[in-house]
Amino acid sequence: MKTNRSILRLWLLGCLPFSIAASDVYAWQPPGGRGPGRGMQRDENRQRPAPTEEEKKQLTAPKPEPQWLAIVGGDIHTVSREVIRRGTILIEDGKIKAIGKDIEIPDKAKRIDATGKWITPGFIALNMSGVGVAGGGDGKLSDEFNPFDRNIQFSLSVGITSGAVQVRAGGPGRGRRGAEAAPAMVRPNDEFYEVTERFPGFDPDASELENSAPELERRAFGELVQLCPCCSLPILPTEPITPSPPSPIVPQKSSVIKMSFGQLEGMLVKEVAFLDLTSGALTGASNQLAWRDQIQKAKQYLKDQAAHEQATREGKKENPPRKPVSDEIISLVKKEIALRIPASRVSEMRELTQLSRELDYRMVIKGGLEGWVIPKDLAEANVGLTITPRVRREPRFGEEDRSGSWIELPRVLESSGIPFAVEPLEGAVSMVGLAGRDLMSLPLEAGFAVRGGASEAKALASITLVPATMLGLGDRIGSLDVGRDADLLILNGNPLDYRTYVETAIVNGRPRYQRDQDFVLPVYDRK
Amino acid sequence: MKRPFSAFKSAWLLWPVISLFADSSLLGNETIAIRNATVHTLTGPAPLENATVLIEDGKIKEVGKEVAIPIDAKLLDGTNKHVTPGFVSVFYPLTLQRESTSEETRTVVVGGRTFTLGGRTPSTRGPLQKVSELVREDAIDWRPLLRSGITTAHVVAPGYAYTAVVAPANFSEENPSQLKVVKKDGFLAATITNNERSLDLLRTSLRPASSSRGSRGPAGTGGSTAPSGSSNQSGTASSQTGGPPQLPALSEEQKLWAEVREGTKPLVVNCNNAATILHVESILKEFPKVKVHWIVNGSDVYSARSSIRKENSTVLLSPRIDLIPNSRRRVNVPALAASEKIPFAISLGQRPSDLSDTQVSPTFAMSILIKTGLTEYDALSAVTSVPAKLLGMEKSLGSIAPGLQADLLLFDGPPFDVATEIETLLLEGKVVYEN
Repeated sequence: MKTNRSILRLWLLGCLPFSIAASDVYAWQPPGGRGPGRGMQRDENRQRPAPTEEEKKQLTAPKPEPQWLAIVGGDIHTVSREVIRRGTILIEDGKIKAIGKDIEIPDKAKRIDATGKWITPGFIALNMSGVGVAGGGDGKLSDEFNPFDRNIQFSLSVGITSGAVQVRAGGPGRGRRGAEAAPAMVRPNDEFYEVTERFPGFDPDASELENSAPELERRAFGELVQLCPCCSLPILPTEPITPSPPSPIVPQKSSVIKMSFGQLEGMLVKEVAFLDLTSGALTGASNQLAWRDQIQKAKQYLKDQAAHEQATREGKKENPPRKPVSDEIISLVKKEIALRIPASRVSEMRELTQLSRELDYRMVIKGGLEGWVIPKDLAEANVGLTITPRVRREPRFGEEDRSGSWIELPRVLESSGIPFAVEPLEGAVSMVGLAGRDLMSLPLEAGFAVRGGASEAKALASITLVPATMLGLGDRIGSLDVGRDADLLILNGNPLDYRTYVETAIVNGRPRYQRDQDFVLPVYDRK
Repeated sequence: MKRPFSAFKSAWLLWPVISLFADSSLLGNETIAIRNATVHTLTGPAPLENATVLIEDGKIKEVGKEVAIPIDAKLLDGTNKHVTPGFVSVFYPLTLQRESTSEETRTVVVGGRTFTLGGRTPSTRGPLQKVSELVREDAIDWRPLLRSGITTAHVVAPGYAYTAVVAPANFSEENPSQLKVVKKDGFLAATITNNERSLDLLRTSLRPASSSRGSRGPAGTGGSTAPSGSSNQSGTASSQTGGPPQLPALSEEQKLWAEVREGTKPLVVNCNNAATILHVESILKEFPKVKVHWIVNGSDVYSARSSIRKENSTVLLSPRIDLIPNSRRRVNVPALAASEKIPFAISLGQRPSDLSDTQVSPTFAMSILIKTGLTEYDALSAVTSVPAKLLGMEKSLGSIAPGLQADLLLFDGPPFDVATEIETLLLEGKVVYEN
C-alpha cells in the first residue's frame, strides 16, 4: 500500500507543472474550485485576439468605482487570528480589503457603526435542506436557485451566511454528469444496517431491547421484531438467500451556496460539497472491497488522463480514457471534496479511519458520538467530525465506560486536536413544534459545545472556519482576514449566547439581513 | 350586405326600414357628438373641460372646446361626465382550444407566495402556439370585459405562444362573443420559471442560429410539431435559391426570436416568482437589446425591482395593492414603479374575478391605487395609452385624438372615483352599452 501511495505522489509531483488537476491534489482548496466558470476562464485566457472596438472602449473607459463598506468600532472576532477590539473592517466589492485598528476609510465608503457589537464571520451550516433551491434539483442547479426564499432570511437571522444545501436525494438525475461512468457498487450487508434501514429510527444498539429479554417480541416503531429466546438478539425478518443486486452509490448531493438574499450572482460557491455516503455503506468486507476498487480505478483514471493529455500535447491522437467511476469519486481522490459518512460507533469509526488512511482521501465523520473513546485514532487519521452536542445515546450494556454519548465529547476532541464542526439536529428550517431543533439552532448548538468543555473560540470555529475547511473553502469563508469574502455578522453579544441576536448579516459585502427591518425575529431591545 | 339580405328573405315587407337601420349602423357613418364633457385625451396631462368629441365613421373626427357639430349628429350630453378612451387589456390570459387542460397550470398566490398547481410544470414547452390562428371566433364573452371598459385585449396563451390583439366584432346582446383579430402579429410570449428546461428555452432561442446550432434551435421543436408545411417550405426555399448549404433558411420561429434579439419586438415573459426575474435578467445580460414585458406579481416586482433593467423593461401589473413579501405590510407597486421610474402598465381583466358581475364599479381597484399614491394620469395612461404604445397600436388606440378609433367610455363622474360607473360605451363609434 505504501509503495502505491508514494508512486502516486511521485507521479502527481511529476505532472504538477502542466496539469491544473494535479495542482489541485495537494491544495486543501483548488484554485478555482469546481465552479462552472472555470473552463470558460481558461478559454478566455487562451484565446485573446486583438481587442475589438468595443473592448477598446471598455478598456479606455474609467473603471467603475469600487463599492466600499466600512464597519467601524466593533470587536472583531476573526477566528483565524486574535480578536481586534474596536477595529475596522473595510470591504471593497464584496471582499475584505483591510482589517485592523488604524485603517483609512475612503470618503465614499458607506459606514456601519458597530460600536459595542461583536463582529464574527458568517456561520456555515453543513446539513442544510430546503434553503435557496426551488425545485427538486433535477436540472442545472444554478437555474433553480431562489434568492428570495424565505428560508434564506430565516438562516440569515441566526447568522448562517453559507452552507452545504442538499439538492438531490439520490437517483440518476438529469443533470448528473459522467452518466456513462459505472456507479460504485457497494451493497450494505451489515445486519445492523439492515435493521436500521428497515425500521428507520430503530437503533439496535439501544439497550432497551437487550434489557427486555422476558418478552419475546417487541414493538419497535410499529413493527414487531422477534427476539431470540436464548440470546435476546432481534431475529431479523427472513430474507431470500440470493443477494439482491448491488445498489450503486448515488450519493445525496449537496452544494455550497451563499445566503445572498436577493442576488443570484455569487450564490453558488461550490457545486459538490461532499461525497456523501449512507451509514454502513463502507462496513463489511465486500463493501470495502468494492470501495477500494472504486478508489483505485479513480486513481488509475487520473493517471491515464494525465498520460492522455501528455500524448495529445505531443501530437498523438488517442481516445481519451473512459471514466470508470462517478465524478464525485474522482474529486474525492483529487482531494477537492471530502467523504462524509455517518458513523457513531467505535468499531465503525475505526474501520473508516483505517480506510481513509489507506486510500488517502479527506474524510468527515458525521455524528461521531463515541469519538471520545478513540480520540488518538481519530487524531492520527486526520479526520474531521461533525457533531451535534445535544444528541445523546445510552451506552451499550456492559460497556458503559466505552460506548454511548458523553457530554464532554467537544472537550476531548479539542484537547486531542481533532477538528470538529457543529451542525444542528435538522437541516431544514421549521416554524412548527419546539424551537431549537431545526437549522436555526446552529449557534445555540455550538453553545452546547462550550457546555461540553470546548473553549468559546473553538466553539465559534466549529460553525465558521472548521466547516469552511471541511468544504475546502477555508481560504474564502469562515474567517475574517484580508482577501476573504466579506461574509460577516454584526451581533449584539456573544454569538454562543441564547440572548444574542444577529443585528446585520452581510454576504458578499452587502447587508442582506437587518433585524430591525426584516421582521424575521423580534425587534425589541433587551433591557 | 349579408344581414339585409337575410332579413329580406324572412320579412321582405320590412325591407326599407331594416336596410336603413342596418346601413347606418353597419357602415358606421353615424355621426355622434359628445358635448360638454370632461375629456381625458391622454395626449396631454390635463383633461379638457367642457369639450366636445365628434365621431364620424367610427373614428374620432375632432376633439376640442369649439367643435362645430353637424346637424345630423346624434348628441350625447356629457355635462358632469367624463370621457376616456376604451381600456386596453395588455395581458388577457386565454387558454387556446388546441391545448389540453392537463397541461394548463394555475398560479395561486397565498400570503404573498406563488404556487404553481396542476398539470405539468410550465417548463414543458409545447410547440409555439399562434393565438391568431388558434383562437376561436367566439372565444371571449365580451360582456364582462365591456362592462369593465375593456375594448381591446392582448391575448396571451399560457406556455409558449405568439400573441395577438383582439377586439369585439359586431357586438350586440345577441352576439356577445364574436371577436376579430385586429393585430395578428403580436409578440413572443413564454411562461418561464427558475428551472433549467424553462430557462433553456430563452438561452437556446436567443442565441443566433449558426450552422452548428441550427438544428438545436427553436426550429427543431417548432418544425416537428407545426404543420409539416412550414418546415418543408423553408427546406425548399433554401434549395431553390441555391444559397450556401451551411446557412439554412431561418424558420419562422427563428425569425421571431431574431426580432426579439435585435429589440425590434419585445418578449413577453410570464414569471412565476421573483427569482425568475433575476434568472432572466442574468441571461439577458448577453443580449442587451432585448426588450421585455414582464407579467409578474406586484410583490415579485417589489422584491426584484433593483434587478429590472429600466430602459428595456415594462412590468405589466395587476390593479391591486400587494403585500411586501414575508410581511404583513402592503405596498402599492404601481405607485412605487412610477416613483422609481420603472415603466409599467396595468393589465385589467387578468383574473376572472376582476370582471365578475358583483364588480359594480369597474375601476374600483384602480381607484384604490389612486387613493394610495398613484396619480390619476399615471393610472389612466397605464390602462390606455401605455398599453396601446406597448402593442404598437398607438396610432389607432389608447387616446382621444383625431383619426383614432372611437372606442370611448363615458363615465358618470370622475373615472376613478369609487362610485363611478360606465354610462355609455362606444365601440368604433357605435353605442353598444348603455347603463
